[in-house]
Amino acid sequence: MDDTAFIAALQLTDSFFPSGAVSLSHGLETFLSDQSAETDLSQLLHNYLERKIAPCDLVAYAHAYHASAGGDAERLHQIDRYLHVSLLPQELRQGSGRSGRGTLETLRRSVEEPLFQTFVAGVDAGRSGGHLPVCLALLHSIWRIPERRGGCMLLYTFMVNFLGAAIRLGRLGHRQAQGLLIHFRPLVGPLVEQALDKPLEEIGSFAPLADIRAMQHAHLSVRLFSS
Amino acid sequence: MTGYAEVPRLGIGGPVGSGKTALIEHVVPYLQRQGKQIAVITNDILTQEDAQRLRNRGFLSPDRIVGVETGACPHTVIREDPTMNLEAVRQLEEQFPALDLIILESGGDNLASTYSPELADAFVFVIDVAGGDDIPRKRGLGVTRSDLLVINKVDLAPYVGANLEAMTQDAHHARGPRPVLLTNCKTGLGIQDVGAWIERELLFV
Repeated sequence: MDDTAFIAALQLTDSFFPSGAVSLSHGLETFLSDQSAETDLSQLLHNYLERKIAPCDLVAYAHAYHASAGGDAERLHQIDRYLHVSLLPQELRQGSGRSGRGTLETLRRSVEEPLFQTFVAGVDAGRSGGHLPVCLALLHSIWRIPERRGGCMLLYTFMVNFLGAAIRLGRLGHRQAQGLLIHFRPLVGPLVEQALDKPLEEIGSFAPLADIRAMQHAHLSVRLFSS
Repeated sequence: MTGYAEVPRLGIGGPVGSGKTALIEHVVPYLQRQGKQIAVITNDILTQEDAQRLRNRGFLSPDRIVGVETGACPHTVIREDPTMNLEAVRQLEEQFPALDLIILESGGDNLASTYSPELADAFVFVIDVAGGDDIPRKRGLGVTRSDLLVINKVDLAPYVGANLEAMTQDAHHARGPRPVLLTNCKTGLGIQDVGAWIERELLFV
């Protein structure tokens, strides 16, 4: 990865990048609102990464990266639609689409590559939802960020968003959060490696409790997050 | 994301309890009486609390009032990362092509909060006499940079020991030529002035 690609990678993983992720808790708010159950945040994050993000978002990401490298906008929309129907809880599906479309919108006037503009026009026209993993794969490919590094970035960004939500919900200190990011470093590479080889047809997560909690979020009487 | 006219957007920010929602409750009917079509986006720290309050007032149909959760960061979602608010704007513009104005109400925030110029074309900052008559002297960005400063609850000044005259002078001193208006949202005092300012500055009436 050359310096330009490295700087691009920093820009896209920085929480300064406006994607709307600050309003998402990915169901964590529901877990933590249940006073009767003790939530092990480290175990929960591990489960999310291993059972949801890697087998679902990351698989879509890998296929979208290849489609982007091949300049195939049609395939990008197909993968985007595939991911859309794989995200079962409505709020997670909406959050993924809003973050992705927000990312496209932020860069609409700055990125001139024809493939990017074609995909944005397709999302505008409702051809697919513009989910975040697909949008990031497209940008990573355009900006020559290697696929594997981009996969690591996807997982890292999720961890930061998840732990950031836990901090704002008052259940985690900022030093504990940094400790967890160090703790999870060795997990990321193998998860990316497994996901990159999976056929698109095998996309899908199995984390029923997390999905149920994400679905229950819409019914919380008090909430700070949109998922 | 494109293909429709962009509707003017007004941000309304200010500390908790200063009267942002109360101002909207009065200004929206005023603008409606002038024949304007309005929609409101609220950014609340709790479950759509302000959105529900506005819906219960009945002057706007419920689908013209949208609540956006802030992820416990009310200032972030109007300044550094307004993505979710822009998405709500886009949906309203698509759903109601004839809108004249979209009002974006911030969650209660500190004196330094401002709106991204890419989210709001102008923003009003609402403070109140009960919050302390020294607020203008603190020169927070909301006080100094907002397009209109509203000092609300002016009727309470004698009861909370606030010097309204000094407060108003301090506000003018801190803001230079930028306008300052006084309101009492319980009685409607000053609402017409705020509405006329919106018409003049955003709707070009």
